[in-house]
Amino acid sequence: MPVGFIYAVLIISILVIAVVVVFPAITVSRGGKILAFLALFILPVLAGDLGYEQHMERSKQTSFCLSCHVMEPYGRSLHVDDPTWLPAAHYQNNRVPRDEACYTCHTDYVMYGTIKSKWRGLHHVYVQYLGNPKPPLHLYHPYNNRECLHCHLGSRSFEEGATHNADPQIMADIKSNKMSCLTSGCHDQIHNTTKLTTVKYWSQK
Amino acid sequence: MMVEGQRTNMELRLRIAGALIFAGLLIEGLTLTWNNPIAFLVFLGVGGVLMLIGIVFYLISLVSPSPSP
Repeated sequence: MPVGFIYAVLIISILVIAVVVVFPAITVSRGGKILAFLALFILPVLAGDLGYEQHMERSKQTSFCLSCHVMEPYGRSLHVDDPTWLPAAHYQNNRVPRDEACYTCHTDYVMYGTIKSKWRGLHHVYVQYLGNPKPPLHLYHPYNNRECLHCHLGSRSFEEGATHNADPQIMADIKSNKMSCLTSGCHDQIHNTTKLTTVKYWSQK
Repeated sequence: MMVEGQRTNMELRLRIAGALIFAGLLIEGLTLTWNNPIAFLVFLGVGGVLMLIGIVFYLISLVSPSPSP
């Protein structure tokens, strides 16, 4: 939804409300009553809903996640010039949308996964402003292969990868999340925020 | 006289409801210019609550009986 449209609805709502507040006597007539209902119920509900949707969409943005100070090193790790660093390789090669990089990998690809992510996000906000977050941060649960396979399942590099097919059991274990993509030792260079001072950074041209 | 009193009372309620919703929408609009988690909290916790109170106040005023003269 274009933000201009949302502002237009907000401004129209505010103007119509102003008319009702300044001239409440117009509600004596039938038309005035309809206008008041529109101004004090229909338009505010519509504007509120559009605004809520806009905030939900914004909360998926990388810049939104990185607006918390504690997330700054995680944002920096996306620019490390090393293809073995998983988040950096995904970010720099557009394997995830750059403007929604955090959300793309850290949402749950299940039913109500987005709602769960938003709920976790609210907890993050609580910890950020009322708690004392100390890096390095830890996930609530071990990272599930399901999130990787949401994109990689069926892709040639995954399905025909030599290591993935070294033993039929390996592929089965990866797909059933018995063998973690990240902690099994194969793709274990994740954000590594403790090593950020010793690495080279990619400078985008 | 009674009709006049009722009208004044209703007008007052409309003004209060309108002012609350107006303030709520204004705050919600301002939060849309700010890309930060606090903006979302202000949107819901201040703008949303003001708007909700205003809407509920308006709906209640529509169905509540007018005071006796």
